[in-house]
Amino acid sequence: MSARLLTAALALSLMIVGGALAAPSEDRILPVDQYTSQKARTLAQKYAPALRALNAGIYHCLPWLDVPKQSIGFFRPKHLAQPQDYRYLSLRIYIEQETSPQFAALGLKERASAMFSRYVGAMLRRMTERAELVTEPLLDGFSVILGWVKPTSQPGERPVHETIAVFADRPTIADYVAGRASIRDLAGRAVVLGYDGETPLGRLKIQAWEDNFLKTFQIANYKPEPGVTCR
Amino acid sequence: MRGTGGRLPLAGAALLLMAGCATSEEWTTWKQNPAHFASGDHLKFSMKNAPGSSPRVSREDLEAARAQNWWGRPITVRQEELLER
Repeated sequence: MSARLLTAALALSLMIVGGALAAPSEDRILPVDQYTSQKARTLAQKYAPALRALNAGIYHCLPWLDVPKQSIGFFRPKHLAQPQDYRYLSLRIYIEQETSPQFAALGLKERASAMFSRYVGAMLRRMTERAELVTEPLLDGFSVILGWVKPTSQPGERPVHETIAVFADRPTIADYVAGRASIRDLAGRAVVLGYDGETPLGRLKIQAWEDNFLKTFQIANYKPEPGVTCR
Repeated sequence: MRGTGGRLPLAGAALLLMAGCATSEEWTTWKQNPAHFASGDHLKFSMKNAPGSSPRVSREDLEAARAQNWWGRPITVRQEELLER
């Protein structure tokens, strides 16, 4: 009897450990007490479930994207006027992808345009799944920061990232998610800052196009956890 | 004939042993490339998706693969350069 209990307890603990390993880490979201303004804390508390859902959706359904620690939250864009406490819902992701000669042959601005086209619109749609965020008066805008390994990085060496940081005010995002503005319009109205490793490249002019990669791509044989539905 | 039946399995076993043993040169090569099964997790993933079996990739498998392909902290723009808390 005690052996059976022991076996059951072991099985249960393994199930719990298995469940915990398959869940997204909440350290991807900036904790409420880490913000420096009451406006940001209010937003973080009010929309905590929306941030957790965003984190979990990427973790389970777009597993080739890595969200670094404390990269989801209501941050203040540094390039905006500082006395004002502008708060943007921000998401930073690192895109893991196979090396591609076609991608490597592009210039940095073309690679930035390709990544913008593929990921920015899709991430903004995920970030605005809670529709209330688009009309939230405390929220000033949205930002998506994308990073990927520079194609000239060599295996075994410390990788260098190329990064674009995309900032758009709330009315622009409202127009985009409502279908009143295209991805091309969004690229024209957003501020896009580029970085080569740690070196700032200034504002980039992006040529964006519709890209349905995320609607069609799946990692071969990848199965989301039971109970998870990916749209 | 009676003795052949006993010797054949022995000879077969010897051949299998010889085929299964790596030469010292092969071991040296293998030791220089220890990342083939860099960890128990990778081994588990490889065994689970052995040829002939129905492959299944879970989120945990991808996490393990990501950790094993990690070549150090990337050179990238710090979050503090872009955003304030």
